[in-house]
Amino acid sequence: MSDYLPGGIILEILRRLPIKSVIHCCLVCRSWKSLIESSTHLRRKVQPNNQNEPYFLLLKPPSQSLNWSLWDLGEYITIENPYRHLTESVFPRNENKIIVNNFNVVGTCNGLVCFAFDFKYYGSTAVIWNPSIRKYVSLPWRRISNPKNGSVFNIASYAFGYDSRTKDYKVLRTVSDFGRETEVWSLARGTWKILRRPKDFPSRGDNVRYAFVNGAVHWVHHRRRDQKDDAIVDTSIVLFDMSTELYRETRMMPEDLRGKQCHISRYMESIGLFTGTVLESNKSSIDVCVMRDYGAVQSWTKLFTLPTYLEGTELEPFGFKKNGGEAVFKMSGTGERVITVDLKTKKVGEFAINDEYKYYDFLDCFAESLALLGHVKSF
Amino acid sequence: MSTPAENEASIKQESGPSGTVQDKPKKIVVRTGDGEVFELKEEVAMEMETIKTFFMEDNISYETVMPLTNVDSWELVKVIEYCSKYVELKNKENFHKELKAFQDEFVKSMSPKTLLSLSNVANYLEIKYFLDFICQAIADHIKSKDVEYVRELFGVENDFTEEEYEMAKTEAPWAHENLDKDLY
Repeated sequence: MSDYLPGGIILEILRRLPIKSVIHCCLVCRSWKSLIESSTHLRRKVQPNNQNEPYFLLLKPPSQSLNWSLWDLGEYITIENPYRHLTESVFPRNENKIIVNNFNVVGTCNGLVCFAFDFKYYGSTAVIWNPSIRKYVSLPWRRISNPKNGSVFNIASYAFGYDSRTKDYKVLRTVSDFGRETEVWSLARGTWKILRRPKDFPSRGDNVRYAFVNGAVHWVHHRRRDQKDDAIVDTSIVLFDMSTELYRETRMMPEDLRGKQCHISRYMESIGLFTGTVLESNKSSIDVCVMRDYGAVQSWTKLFTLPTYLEGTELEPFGFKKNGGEAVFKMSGTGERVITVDLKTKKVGEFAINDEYKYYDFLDCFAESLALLGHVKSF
Repeated sequence: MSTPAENEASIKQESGPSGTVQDKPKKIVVRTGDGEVFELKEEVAMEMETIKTFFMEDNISYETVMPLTNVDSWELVKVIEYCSKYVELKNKENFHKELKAFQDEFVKSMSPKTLLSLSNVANYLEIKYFLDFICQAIADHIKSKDVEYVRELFGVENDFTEEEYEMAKTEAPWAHENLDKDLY
């Protein structure tokens, strides 16, 4: 065979390299650099067993470091706390020497992490960060005109997802109380675009959970009687399609969970719901239900009920492990920790990297990625 | 390990009236770019999509000798070796364990340059699992090597200007440290 190796084969080799090596190979020659930078959307094929998303990204409370852990092999890597650098991008001149310790983590997608920051008098913005290659992109500031009374922080809510049709990353931002406007930012466009939000659709004021599944952001939406009466009239799952940039109300909400407070989460390629029930005094439980076939409302199955009997503790669901084998919860109160429940055996375990790292603010499935390579701003 | 001589076979004589489709002989004959003729077992040949398509699409008789002009004989020998083993182990219980052991030996016997040649062949013959394996082997080999080594191996010239090169380096300086500088 001739010596010439087509680009397709070079890519097959590069996909199997650790990220550091791939970036180093950008120095081989111009065509390799260009080949690598134009193929960042390709899924990486890293051992073991070419699992997609073998990692967990774990964020500890502010002023601590960020870790990510290779779940199955029990290893972890500590990565530099990006908050200092993110502060520089958010306040480039920082004349008032503002120190930002805490960004909200919006979510992760394909190895990118989205942080958001709202500050009543300065406006709001978001940053998309790739911890694998240490690059980030900061989104343009949004001014908030006529900020209403109330909370100084977190008056906008965000969702982060991926449009697989145009291979573009997008951030959705909704601000409560400000008409029916929503905005979408896309990495390709680099700007915010204002959209009209249909009447009666989510206008959340805080970072309510969403699940990014099947190319769309999904929320649980409670329709309340009216502005004054908080009683829930109906509950549905609504979605925002990242590709068409349209809202849609679905019929996916299971009948018996309507009216209840639910946490929505991604479950493999579909959706799961965690609902809390208060039993007798001081006792409550969490039901874990999943929609086995995405879109098929009759496929909702209750997997188990987790009692939360311990005094003084609160259990908050993080979500599910990528392969659907375990549900993960954050336990706060006395003895903060992360616990896991095996969905088959119902066995409860504890997730801890070591004695020091037991409590996390954010936990999600994660994969190394080259996305953002070729974009500005790295550290 | 088989050699061309062992695999060489005379072209089959026509045996009277042509048989029905079911009477096809179970061997497939190919000719490599350097003129060697190989006789392959059907089950091994069918692991290679290119060969499979050639015969299946137009229902070409197995009497035909398929030309594989882009493949050298030593390369085909290696491909046959791997695919035969794969087919043999495929339905066994400790498939993964035994395949891994075979893969480790297979890689040991080859230089990086030969692995590159085989990746091209695997691609041309469209043998997905073999291509995956070879690419992984090459990736494992170059993962801690520095850029000079990679250029030498792939036969690629550095066409960056000094400035461009330094700029590219500063984009992610942490990625270009602590690498092997050995050339061989």
